[in-house]
Amino acid sequence: MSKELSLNQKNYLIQALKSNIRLSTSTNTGGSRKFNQFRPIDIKLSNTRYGSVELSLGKTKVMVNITSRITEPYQDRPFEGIMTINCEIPNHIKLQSNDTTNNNNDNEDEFINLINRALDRAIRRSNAVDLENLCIIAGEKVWELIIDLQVLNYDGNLIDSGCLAIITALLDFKKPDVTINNNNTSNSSSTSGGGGNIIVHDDEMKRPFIELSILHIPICLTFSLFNLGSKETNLKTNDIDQEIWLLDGDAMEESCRDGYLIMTMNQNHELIQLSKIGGGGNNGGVSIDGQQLINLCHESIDEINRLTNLVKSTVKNHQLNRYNNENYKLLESSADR
Amino acid sequence: MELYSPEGLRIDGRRWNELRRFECRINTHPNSSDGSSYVEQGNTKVMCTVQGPIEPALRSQQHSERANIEVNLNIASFSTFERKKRSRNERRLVELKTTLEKTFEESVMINLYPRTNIVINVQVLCQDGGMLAAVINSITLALIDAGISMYDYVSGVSCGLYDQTPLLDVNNLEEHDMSCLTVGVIGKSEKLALMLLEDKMPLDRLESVLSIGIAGSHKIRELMDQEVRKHGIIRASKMQ
Repeated sequence: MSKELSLNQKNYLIQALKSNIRLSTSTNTGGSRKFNQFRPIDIKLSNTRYGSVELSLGKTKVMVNITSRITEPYQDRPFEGIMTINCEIPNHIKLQSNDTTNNNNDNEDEFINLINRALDRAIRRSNAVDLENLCIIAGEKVWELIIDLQVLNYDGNLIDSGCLAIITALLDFKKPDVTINNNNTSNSSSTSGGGGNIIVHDDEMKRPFIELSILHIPICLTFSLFNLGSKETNLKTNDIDQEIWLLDGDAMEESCRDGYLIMTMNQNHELIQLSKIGGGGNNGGVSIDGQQLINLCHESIDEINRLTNLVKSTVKNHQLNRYNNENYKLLESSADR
Repeated sequence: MELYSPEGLRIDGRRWNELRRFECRINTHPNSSDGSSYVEQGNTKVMCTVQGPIEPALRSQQHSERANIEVNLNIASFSTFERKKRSRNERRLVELKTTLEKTFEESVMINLYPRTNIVINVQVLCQDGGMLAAVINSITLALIDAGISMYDYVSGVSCGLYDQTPLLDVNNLEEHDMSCLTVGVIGKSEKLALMLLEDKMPLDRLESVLSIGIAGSHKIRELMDQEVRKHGIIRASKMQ
């Protein structure tokens, strides 16, 4: 797909949306996608290491790696581990610019910052991972989780695919077990403080790794908004027929949209994040009616449930496969000897 | 501490649907800017100046069919109880800057001012909760003072959810202990130009919190409109 969209392409897309047709096909059924339909999601988990995920959402492809290391905690939070999310977009991937006359670098930095902030709010701020569980010795040693999100191909909707990939990786990730050796036990006459030594059991054959404590599973949904009428009509009247809401917009739809809404929910019917920050599109953005927004949130519960169950079943199936392939059954206490 | 007593009083004596004291002034810096305003929303104090439409300093900021809106948001290090030096490139500030730029690109008639730049400088002097809402109100008043054409007012308010009760116009103590929602409402309608929810909120409660936010924004719009009309009457009388 070329970076710049011609006026004919934009008009063609808008006209197709007016006729209830999306241009991108759902490869499952062959027909055009519905307005609230996701592209097919393919999740691959690594067989050789924990916390590595490749996720494909249509043609959008992202990769997540989670690494862990032991570090010092922040001084104001001595009982909590550290979790950081890094989102990188390689230089060869050209993001669709909403305004081609704008400075390209500023737009891309803005976009990357938006993705980083959205994922940070969805996962870290909402306490999806129990950070207190990552504490080894309070004030001295904690686990630090480093989540690297790499965009391999861009065809729209990075926030949803990034969030799905990170959540899948966190559910799959396991960290080495740690034993704390208290100094005072061996040297009772020591006058030094209680600082303990730790032993990291990094051989999985000797001691199994421990998975993370996941408190809930946040799922991001990004809605693209199109304003079919004029801007004055959108601001002054409440004509719902003049607005189109798309779920999971691809790159072409994202470059033509007038606004977007990022919504993060979990299966417990809790809203974690809701961002309507204006579109900045060529038409200058769409304003959302309050009641329509609430209806949209309620209608999205089914999609949230579907995606949550997809993530859970993928991780569960993968763990079962790994269990069978590595012959862990022989290690069970009730196994035939 | 008790944020909301069984008698229905908050920690500062307000009830659940009462705004803090809202005081606003326009044309506060007539020499250094084309439009200026000062907004106090409770103890949150925001100062805003607008220069523009002016010629852009950089060629990349120039658009042949519309104006470019640039927002510079400065949060003073003394604005919180503990002094905190904030760099301009902090991610949160960059996001707020982008949010404000996109919100007002939506509300300002930027197609009337092609090849120009509108520079909005916001200085937050004191923070006591609801900072983004106060900044939105301040920018709206400054743009009106500058004579820049807008479709309608954008009024902002933040509201929180305390257990089952929505609370309007939260302050700093309330912001830390409950989930908060910031809305920017366009004029007298129920259209949302901006909506930002960063904490967990049950979906069942969203409707009540949103409705109280929209009602509070309408009240703030009234208060802003009163000040603008009063200032207009004063200037009209000076013309005679």
